[in-house]
Amino acid sequence: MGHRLAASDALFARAAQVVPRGIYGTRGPLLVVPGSYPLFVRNGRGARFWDVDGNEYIDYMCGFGSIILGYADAEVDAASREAEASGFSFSQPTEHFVALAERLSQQIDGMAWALFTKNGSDATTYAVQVARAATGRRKVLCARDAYHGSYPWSTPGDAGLLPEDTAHIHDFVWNHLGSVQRLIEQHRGDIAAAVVTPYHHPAFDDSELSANGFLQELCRLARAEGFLIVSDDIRVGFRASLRGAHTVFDYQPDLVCLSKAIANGYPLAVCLGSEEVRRAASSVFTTGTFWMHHGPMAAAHACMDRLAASDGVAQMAARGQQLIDGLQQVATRHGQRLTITGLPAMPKVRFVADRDMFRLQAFCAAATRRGAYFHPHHNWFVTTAHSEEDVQRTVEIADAAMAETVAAGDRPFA
Amino acid sequence: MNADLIKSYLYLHAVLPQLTTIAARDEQARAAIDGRAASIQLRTVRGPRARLHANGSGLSFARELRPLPSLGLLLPSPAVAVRMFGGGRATPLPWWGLWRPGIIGLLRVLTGRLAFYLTASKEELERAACFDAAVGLRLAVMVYAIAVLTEHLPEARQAAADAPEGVAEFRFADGSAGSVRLSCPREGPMRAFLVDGGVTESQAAPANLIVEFQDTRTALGVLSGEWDIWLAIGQAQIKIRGHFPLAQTILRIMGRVGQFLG
Ligand SMILES: Cc1ncc(COP(=O)(O)O)c(C=O)c1O
Repeated sequence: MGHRLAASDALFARAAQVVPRGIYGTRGPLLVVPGSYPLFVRNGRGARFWDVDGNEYIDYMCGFGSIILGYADAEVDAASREAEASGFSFSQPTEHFVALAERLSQQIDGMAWALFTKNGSDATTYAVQVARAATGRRKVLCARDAYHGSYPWSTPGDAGLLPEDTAHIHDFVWNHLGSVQRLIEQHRGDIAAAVVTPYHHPAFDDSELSANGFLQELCRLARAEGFLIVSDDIRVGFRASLRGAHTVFDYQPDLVCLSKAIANGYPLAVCLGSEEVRRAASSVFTTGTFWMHHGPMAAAHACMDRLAASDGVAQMAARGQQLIDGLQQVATRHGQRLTITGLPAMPKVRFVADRDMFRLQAFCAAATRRGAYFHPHHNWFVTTAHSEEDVQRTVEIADAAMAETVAAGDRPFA
Repeated sequence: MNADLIKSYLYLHAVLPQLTTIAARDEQARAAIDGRAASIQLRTVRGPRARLHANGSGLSFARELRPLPSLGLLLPSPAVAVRMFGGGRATPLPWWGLWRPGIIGLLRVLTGRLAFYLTASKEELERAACFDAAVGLRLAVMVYAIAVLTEHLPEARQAAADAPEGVAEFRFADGSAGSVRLSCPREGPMRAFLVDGGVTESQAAPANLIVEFQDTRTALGVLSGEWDIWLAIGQAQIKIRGHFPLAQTILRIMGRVGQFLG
């Protein structure tokens, strides 16, 4: 089939000598299917990337969602280059810093100020600190299996951690108000915040929208009990709305964290907050050497301009829906059933009656070997650069991958 | 929970059961058992118990003691059990039965063979033409140890309680050694069993998770700590397929085994 990964494997062997795990975290090989997925990339353009062996892929991971306009977007890259041509990493911020904070605090519904960091984890961690400072309380409620970053309070890992790191983090079950109420009863008066995503997107399960007014009721409880709502909009963000996904899913957070796609892949994250928590935000000391780097801020301006001018949100929704419809047709043709959940621009795909995910892993690996990069254990992402033809081609690839998967039987690897 | 207690459970309930495979496969062990019926019981004060029963042609293992063993040995503390199995000096006290040199001799042969399979170097194993079998045994110890930790180490017990229900199968792609299964029930600790080692349990349900080593060489590298498991995964020398949440729990507990079993 011509899908060779020799150069990728050779690079991994080198990395293995000098980097823990070779590649760490979510980009590491554990969650994909080693032998089918490239581990190293050479370049990208639009909706495509090429691995170090020269294999071409239509990409549905898009830098884990950080690419929203496609790779190497000329306008965003030019904005960043232009800002950086005059130097960067100064000791003090530039005007971009103020202009972007002004723009975001006007644009993101209900927010009055912005604080920039680099990674989503920095932003969520700061938001939790602000909530604790604002309330003088310790406890933080999070949905079970939600991901809010890789710092000790939120990481799904366990090595190197102390029980104390998560002593005040408590899980509720998404869409299960009773589990929230139980925590409130247990910790009444000591809850600083609930951290929520606009909808639930766990790694190994379907994405789940808020049902029966769950998020609205959570917000009501927060107001009544005096704790804050942090919206972790890092993954969904501008794929739902340029005003913040809470405007689409209809809840009002006190703090909003954005990152990933806000600057089309340039490293930038931001924590925004309401007027009410501004003083608490000021009271928290935080900083990072690179947090005020203005290149990504210029890129963010350009990225938002492009998304607004082209109605990028609607465009991605349409492409995502085209992909979903195409995949469902492919599945039906091959006698399979798929469950596809989440926003159309961020579809989470699984096979019905495939609890152990063998078939999903086989299908995603087969599609990836043929040039449609599908991750078996993460929601996928669509960008404004995915054209109708790209999606059409993807569906053709999915058809061949599905035929291979079905031919391999019920438990392709077992 | 102190480390000696955990270790004593690991020695008696993860290491010792592998004697059943050795008794079935190893010439010297088979010869020692041949025609002999005897039961040897080990009792640790405030710790694990174990019973080995030779029935003339094979050996069985149980955690529960039975009345009237041929020989009962008392280990006065978990620390003594750890010293006895960990290669240190420790003398167990006979608490039941006659101090019969024949049975002591049988126990010596069996534990000697066990120590050989579990600690001999690559070269020694190759010279003895039992490399694959030894790696199979070492893998079985690891998998049994995961199950034992879910009984006795609070963090592992909690991880197992939070883990999804399912069965993981550890196997070799080239079939060079037998498979071991680890079952994670809806409630309670995990349980390990051999699929086609000395003792076979029914394997009606297909595994929900498969951890497949390319070959015994890869497995030994990883089990001995010489190779990093993450790198072996990245290089497709270990393939993990199926129920990933279960895999994550197992990998997490597996990371703790080395802390107790060097
Ligand atoms: C919802 C959510 N929150 C937080 C984070 C952490 O972001 P980062 O990886 O940039 O630290 C992520 C990353 O995937 C995420 O998806």
